[in-house]
Amino acid sequence: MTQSQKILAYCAFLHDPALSLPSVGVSETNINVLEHDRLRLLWSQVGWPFDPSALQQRAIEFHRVVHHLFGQTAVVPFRLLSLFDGHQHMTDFIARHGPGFIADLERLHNVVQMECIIFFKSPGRPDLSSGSAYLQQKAGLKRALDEFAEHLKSPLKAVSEEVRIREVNNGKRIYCRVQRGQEESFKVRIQEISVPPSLERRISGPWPASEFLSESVKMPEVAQSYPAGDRHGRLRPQPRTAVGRGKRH
Amino acid sequence: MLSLVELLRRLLERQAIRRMEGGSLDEGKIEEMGQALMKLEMKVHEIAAAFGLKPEDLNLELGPLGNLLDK
Repeated sequence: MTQSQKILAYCAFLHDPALSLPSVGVSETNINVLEHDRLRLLWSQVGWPFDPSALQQRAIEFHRVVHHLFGQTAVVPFRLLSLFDGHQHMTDFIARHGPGFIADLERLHNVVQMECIIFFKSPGRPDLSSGSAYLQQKAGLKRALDEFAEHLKSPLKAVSEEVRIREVNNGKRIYCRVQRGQEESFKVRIQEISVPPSLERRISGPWPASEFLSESVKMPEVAQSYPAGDRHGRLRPQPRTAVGRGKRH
Repeated sequence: MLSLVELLRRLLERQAIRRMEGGSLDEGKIEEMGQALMKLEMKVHEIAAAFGLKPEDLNLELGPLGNLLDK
């Protein structure tokens, strides 16, 4: 397999001389830092494409790099496989989007994202006795979920700066913006709330506050990305953390 | 293709529930829509099973766009 050299972006964060940087990137590559004003962006030069059989390992290595920084400060994480063709493309990208990144990192300084997903233990068998019964059953399930999500909102707001709820397959995902250091209080508070027998609740975090990034930082208008080998994707920081997303719950 | 059908089915189902709860459908229409959605769900599962797939396998990872169906 012929490989070309690309630049893999890990995450952006605000400069702080006290921060320790990871010693090695994916595929044992060197970690480099791009500086733009107060913004710093971690990157490595990598051979592309990755060996498909090693993709999972690369994802773990990528996750380690991002979380090394996230353990110390707020970061804007990029998706794995967000690649620049060369250093100039990355520099141009940061020149264009740096101010938005800096504003978001300042705003989200010292906060993390905690998540709670609620879903039906088992979707159960659909009621096939009639069309109305089928639709009424679906509506009932949706109502039970909506009511529990609303019920959770108030106690979650007591331990979160902001709560957002999104519909997901067979359930709801609740994103909470929590002060760094308050993760355990959040978990304790949410575990105190009893869950209806038909539902299940899973809590995860802390994660970078990706859900709370501004839209311009979530989806900057650039090209030069090769998601999963596709040359037509767009580069963007991930709106949700990448490794184990969804399945981590 | 089947994943897209499943995505559309879920969108239709949500829309039908919204309309039913909003009171804009009479009983005959509710029955009709319920029947159509019920048959569609059964058919999607039947075709998926024929290919050895479970309903959750119909989700697609769209790289930087996330998943086709929310998890």
